[in-house]
Amino acid sequence: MLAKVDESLDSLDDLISRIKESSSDIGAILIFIGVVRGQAKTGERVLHLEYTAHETLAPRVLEKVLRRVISKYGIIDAIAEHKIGRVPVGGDIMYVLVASRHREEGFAALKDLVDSIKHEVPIWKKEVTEQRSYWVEGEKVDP
Amino acid sequence: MKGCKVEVRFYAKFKEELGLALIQLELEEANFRSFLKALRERIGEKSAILFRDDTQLRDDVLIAINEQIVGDVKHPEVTLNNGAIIDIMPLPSGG
Repeated sequence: MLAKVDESLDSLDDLISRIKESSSDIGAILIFIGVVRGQAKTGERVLHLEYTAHETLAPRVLEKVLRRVISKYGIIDAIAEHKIGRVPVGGDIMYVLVASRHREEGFAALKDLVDSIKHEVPIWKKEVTEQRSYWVEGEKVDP
Repeated sequence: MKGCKVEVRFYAKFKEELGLALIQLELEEANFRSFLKALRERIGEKSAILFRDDTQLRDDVLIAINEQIVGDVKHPEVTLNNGAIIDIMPLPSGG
């Protein structure tokens, strides 16, 4: 398991190798890559995004989310890395990898992980468009 | 009840909108109610950024006490230790 919130992401090849090493029972590895979209929900053209995080809480909550999801779905291992700082359009924001015996529980775990990271880990996003910059509002989610 | 001093850290949108990163507050009593009262007085006319009324925080304010996120923070009787660190954060919006 690896939980990382940092100014740089590890290479996907390295992360895939790492998660593969966790068990010989792995039958599927599923990967989510979050990428900066060039158009905001408002239709404005995005220049870049700026991410900031609670330095100590963010990695700790991320690890907690990973542990919960691994246990809930009985998957073999999981990795999540989230970038902070400036990310240009087309740039990678987040890598989430799930290793499971079968694809079904892997897909379910991956979706839960990505949703949970967005709603629980204290990371915040500012969208910078051609016209302005603004903080993107998080959503309140019932536990 | 005896008072205490706490340190308050602001993050992201709240840090920018309030123009505050870190403040110290002296509380009359060592509990969350007293903290909210002192915070409201300190931020004055900008209190609507964090408060929905005189005594309650808005739903989109996330609180951590001593680096533990507290779910329903708004309980006024939660006790605070002297030197407690209280983080005031927006809801997460990463990803």
